[in-house]
Amino acid sequence: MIFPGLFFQFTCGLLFEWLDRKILARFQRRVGPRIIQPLADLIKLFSKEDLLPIGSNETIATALPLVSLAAVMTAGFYIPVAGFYRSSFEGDLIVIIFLLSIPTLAYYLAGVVSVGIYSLLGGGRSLLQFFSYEVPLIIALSGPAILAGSWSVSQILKTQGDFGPFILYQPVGFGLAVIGLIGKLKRNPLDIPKAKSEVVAGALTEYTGGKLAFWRIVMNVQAILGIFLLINLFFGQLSANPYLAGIIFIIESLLMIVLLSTASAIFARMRIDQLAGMGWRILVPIGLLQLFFVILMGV
Amino acid sequence: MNKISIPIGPQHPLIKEPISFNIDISGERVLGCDMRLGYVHRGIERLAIKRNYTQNIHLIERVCGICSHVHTTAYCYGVEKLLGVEIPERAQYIRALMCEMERIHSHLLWLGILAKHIGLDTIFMHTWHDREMVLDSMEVISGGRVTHAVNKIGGVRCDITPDHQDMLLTMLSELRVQVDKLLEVMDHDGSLKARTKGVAPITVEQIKAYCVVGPIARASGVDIDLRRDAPLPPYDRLEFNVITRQDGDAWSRTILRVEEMRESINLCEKILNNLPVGAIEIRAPRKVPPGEVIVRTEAPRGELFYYLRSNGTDMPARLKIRTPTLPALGILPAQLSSIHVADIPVVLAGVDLCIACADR
Amino acid sequence: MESLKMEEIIIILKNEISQSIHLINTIPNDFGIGVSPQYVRPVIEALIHQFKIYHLSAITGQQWVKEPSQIELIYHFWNGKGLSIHTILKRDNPQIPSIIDIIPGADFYEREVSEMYGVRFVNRPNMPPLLLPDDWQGVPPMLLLENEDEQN
Repeated sequence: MIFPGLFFQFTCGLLFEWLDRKILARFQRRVGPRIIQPLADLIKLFSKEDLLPIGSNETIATALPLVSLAAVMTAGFYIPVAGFYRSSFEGDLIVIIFLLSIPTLAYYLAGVVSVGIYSLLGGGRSLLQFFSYEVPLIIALSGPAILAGSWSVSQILKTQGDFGPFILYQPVGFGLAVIGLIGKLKRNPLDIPKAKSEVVAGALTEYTGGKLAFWRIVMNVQAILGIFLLINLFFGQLSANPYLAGIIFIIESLLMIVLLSTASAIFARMRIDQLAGMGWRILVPIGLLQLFFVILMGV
Repeated sequence: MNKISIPIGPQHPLIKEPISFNIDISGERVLGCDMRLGYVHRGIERLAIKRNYTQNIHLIERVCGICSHVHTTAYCYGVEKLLGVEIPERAQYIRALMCEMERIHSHLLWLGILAKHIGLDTIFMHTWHDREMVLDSMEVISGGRVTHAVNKIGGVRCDITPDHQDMLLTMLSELRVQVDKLLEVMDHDGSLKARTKGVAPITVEQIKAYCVVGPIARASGVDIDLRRDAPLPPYDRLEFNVITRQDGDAWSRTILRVEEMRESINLCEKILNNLPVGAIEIRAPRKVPPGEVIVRTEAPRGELFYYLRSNGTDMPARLKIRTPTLPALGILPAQLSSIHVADIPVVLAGVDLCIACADR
Repeated sequence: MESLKMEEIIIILKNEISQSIHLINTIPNDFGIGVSPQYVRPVIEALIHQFKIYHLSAITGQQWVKEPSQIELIYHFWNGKGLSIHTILKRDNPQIPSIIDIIPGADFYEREVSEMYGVRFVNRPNMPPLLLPDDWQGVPPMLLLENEDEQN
């Protein structure tokens, strides 16, 4: 329950959101929020009126964020944090990738179920974007698995203890994984599904109150778990001492958050056709090339 | 893919004033658009003939919030021409200074809005931060950030002391550093260019057919600028460059306005360094002799047209305003056909709509 | 355009279109031509094709209190100097041929004059009101009422 369960993931998600907003504000010559601001936002959302348009299904609309939250938090059980993990089995990387993609499908369904033109457009766009970034992401995440000879994240972690962090062997894969993560989290420059100037708020336009709060929790937890996954797959375990490993893990997480926030601040939003072109014409071939090298290296 | 119709407005995060578009899209392509104005129509032309000339300055300033000063400048020049008075030189220079500062802050506002709509929040925050410098100095001079009430019939109301002059010159040199940095960032930034280059080009024939004015016309190569072609004093004594570009796409319109900002900063410094001494107003009679006058001037968005008729009393007989956003709205449906849905914010922001001006 | 002076334009127009075209110089810095309503379209066509004057700044409608049965329309052009075409319509039945096929940009100006003064522009598709609400009933707003003069 506590670790690595509900409270831990929830708190890490809040910390991630605060750090992200603070770094973005500093880029923009602003001050940024205080550390309890994300929690205050959630409390405020829970106190708001919960409406849905006529014609939408209240049960499905409530179930969608809860199911996504359950899926994402289950994935958290298998992602080691500073070497500690709840359980693992062979092939849990595949399960994690699958569970972390459920929120995208739920996002699309949320767009369909809240009857409204902007929601439909936002949901459709999220699926279009899904097809463009997911394949490079899976290819990039397969690299470490093939190199380690195992599809279990904890096993990959242990293998890196012997060989060194995998980012040294496949830096290009790491770059692809970061781009894929930005697409999955729907952050700038790939926040096409919720582009405020075109589709108001995407699939979540009609959501208010507690349901919107749960969606925000899902986004935050998905983000921090994605970061943890990338750290585990590419940076590995740099020290056997648990305290030192913990500190190194925190530093790595901070670096990843800084990387994501910087990317969010300095790029303009891509167009969906530019994203599709880049995804299939540039990222997938580069990913396959990297995979080819990894297979050679593994042999 | 079947056709769906997206309503944009009257309330939408994309537009800052109420206007209603119904854009027909099919897949990711725009087919056409249907426009409805009139949400901010206040009947200014009808109100103007029921108020005397001085009350009308207050009314006309509120036609638009962003270009309020240039409206009153055109109106006051018209009334002074009917009266046959010529205002002192110092007053002319102060009017021109406020006009140019208004042009700078209007272009900074527009640039922030464009950057926000394509996802570059960082540029939005930086340009509006610089805009605060301009608005603060306008407040120091005139007491108001948005409506300055600087003009009166016969001159200007507030003077520029030597302290103000120093403060303005400092602010302008800081602003010039920021604008140069902005120009450099925009030149090198790939994502901004990728979103705006080649989007919605307008040909010279379309500009001539739809009578488009202002930066949109200059971005396509049509060389019109009323500060040079029909100069109100003191523009006939000031030298400046008129910037044109040839491509006519959204990127040209963007860069053109940033370069115009730099020209305006130069012009402001010239005005401040050559400010003539003297009175700032002259006494003007209340009753205006009968006559008609036409005033054309260059607002931040293009050609502003005023027609004023007087009939010997102290209230005008007819006031006709034609703002530069109106022809830009006329060409908007042609621009919006056959572009991507994701380019709609780029096109709408590139036109620099000021709906309050268009609706009056 | 500077080469062809405005006076020569009037002479050419008088010869080609109608002798009733005359000079109006009530507006300083602006060259006025008085034309009857049926000749407005040929004059504008001549301005565009022969003299290359194509920029229409505005179309003003107004009523003079001395002649309440007339509505005056002014077409303001610009080509480095101002040029205006004045025409007088009858208040009971104000009609004039539309020019949006030669100048598409005149669309908004014609719609505004039409809803503010009740002027009917023939040969153009009927479009919804530009500035007034869709359910506006009553007189065109800018027309002076019967016993109203311009001041009260």
